[in-house]
Amino acid sequence: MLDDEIPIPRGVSLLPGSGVGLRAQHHESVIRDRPEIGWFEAHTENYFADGGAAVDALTRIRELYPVALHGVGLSIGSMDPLDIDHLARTKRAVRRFEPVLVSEHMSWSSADGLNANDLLPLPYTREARQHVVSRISQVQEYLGRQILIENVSSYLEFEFSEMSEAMFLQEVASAAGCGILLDVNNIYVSAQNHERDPYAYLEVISPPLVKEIHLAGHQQITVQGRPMLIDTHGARVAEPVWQLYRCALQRFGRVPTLIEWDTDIPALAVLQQDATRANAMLEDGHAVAA
Amino acid sequence: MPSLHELQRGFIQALFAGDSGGTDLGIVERRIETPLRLGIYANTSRVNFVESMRTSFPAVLRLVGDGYFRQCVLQYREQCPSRSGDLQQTGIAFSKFLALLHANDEFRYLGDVACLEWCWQETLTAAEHPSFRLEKLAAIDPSAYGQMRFLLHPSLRLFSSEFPCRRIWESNLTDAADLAPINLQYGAERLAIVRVAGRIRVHDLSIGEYTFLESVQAAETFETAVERTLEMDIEFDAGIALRRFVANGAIVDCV
Repeated sequence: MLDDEIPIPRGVSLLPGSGVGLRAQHHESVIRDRPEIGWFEAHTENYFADGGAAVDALTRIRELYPVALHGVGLSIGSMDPLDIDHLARTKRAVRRFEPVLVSEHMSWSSADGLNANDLLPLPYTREARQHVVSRISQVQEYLGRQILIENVSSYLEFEFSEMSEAMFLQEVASAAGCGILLDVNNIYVSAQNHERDPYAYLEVISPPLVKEIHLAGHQQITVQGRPMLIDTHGARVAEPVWQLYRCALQRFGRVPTLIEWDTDIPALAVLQQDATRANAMLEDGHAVAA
Repeated sequence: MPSLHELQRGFIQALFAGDSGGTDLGIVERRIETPLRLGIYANTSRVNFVESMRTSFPAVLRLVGDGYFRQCVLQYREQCPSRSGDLQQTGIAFSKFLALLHANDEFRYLGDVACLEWCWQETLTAAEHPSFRLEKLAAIDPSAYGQMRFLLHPSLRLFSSEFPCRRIWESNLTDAADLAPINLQYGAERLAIVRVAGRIRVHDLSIGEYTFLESVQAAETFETAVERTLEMDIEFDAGIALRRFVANGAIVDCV
C-alpha cells in the first residue's frame, strides 16, 4: 500500500479545527494581527515564484500557523502528459513551506496542450478511474508523500459514466492510496444541478479516507428558466451546505475544515466568522462522539 | 463512446472554438441544453484568463479602459491560449501582441507599457540574492579585472523604449481622475528595474549604463563590456558605473 510506503508528514492529525483559505489581500493582516484561526490553506500556484513578497509572506505565516497547499493547475485527470515543470514547482513549494496537507482536484484542465484553467468534469468510467489512479500515484511518487484529492462542482454529466461521482472518488482514493478532500459545498452544488441526493453521496465515502473538508459559498443563476448553482467561492456558506456539513461531521468525525473565498474577497473577519461556526460544529460533533 | 482522450479533445475544442469537432460528448441535457452547460465552463475559462491579465497589466487596463482591455485580451487569447496550469505566465507575449496591434496608430506606445509592466511582474517574483561582498573584489588582483564577469541581481530587468513609458505607467497606477497629459515626444527611456530587500526600484539609465548592463547580462567579460559601452558612449566611466550598480544592488557578484 502506498500509505505504508509514503509517510504522511508530521501533524496531519493535529490540524486544529477550522482554517481559512489564504489570499494575498490578507497576508499583511494575518502577520500583523495573528488572528485566532487554526490554520491556513494557500493555492500552490500562487507561491511558485522564486522569491518576492508573496513567498516571503507565506514563509512568515508558516512560522505562525500550520499551512496546507492546495493546487488548482496540475490537471490530474488530463490525458495530456503530466506537466513535469508544474509538478517540480509544486515539489519546491512543498519543500519550502512544509505543508501539513497537499491537495489537488479530481478534474482535468488541458487537452492537446490547450489549458482551460478551469476544473473540468471527468466521465466516471473505468478508463478514467484507471487513468486518474495512475496519475495520482505518479504525483505521490514524485512528491514523496500522500496527497488529497478533491471532488469538484459540475454543471454537466456524461451519459456514458459507469458509476456515480462518489463511487469514482471512493475507488480512486482507495486504489491510489491518496486521501480525500471532501468539498461539501461542491457536493451540494453538483447534487442540485443534477437533481441528486447530496446526503447519499456521503454514505458512499469511507470515513478513514476523508482528511479534510472544504466549505465555500455559491451563487444561483437561471439557465433556460431552470436554477443552476455556480461554485463561485464568492459568498458566505449557504445554510443547506451547513446542514450537509453537520451530517458529514457525524459520518466522518472531527475532520479539519477550511473556509474558502476566492472572488470579491471580504475582510478576513468575515471568513473568520464562518471558520468560527465550523469550529463550533466540529466541537459539537466531538462532544457527541465522546 | 469516445475514449477519454477523444472526449477531452472534443470538450476543449468546444470550449475554445465553440464546436467539439464532431466528437459526441455525450452530455446529459436534462432540461438545459448542452451548449449552455458547456458555456458555463467556457465563460469561467475566459473570465479566469482575463482576470489574470488584469492583475498583470493594471496600467494598460487603465489606459485603454475595461471594455477594450477585455476585447484585446480575448483576441490575444485566440493567438496565445494558455498552455499552462499556472495562469501567472499568461501575459508573457502580451506586449508583442499589443505592439503589433497598434504598430501604426496613436497607441503605439501600449506595447512598451505592457512590456514594462511584465518586467515589473518578473522583478516582483524573482529570486533573492545577497548584496555584493566588496571584500571579494578587493581580494582579486587588479590585473585580472578585465577578464572578470559581473553578475546581475536575479530580479534585474532592463527596459528601453522610444516613449516615456515610465511616466505613462506611473501615472496610470494611481486612481487619480485628472491625469496630466504626457507628451510622447518627451523622449526615449532606458530603465533598470530591480528588487532589493523586498523593495522594487526603477533606475533611469544613460545609453552607456544601459549598454554596460546589457553586456554584463550577456555574460561578457568586464573588458569586453567596457569596450562595447565606449563604442556607444565615449564619456562612459566604468568606475563610477560599477560603484553605482553595486550600491543600488544591480550588480551582486563577480566570477
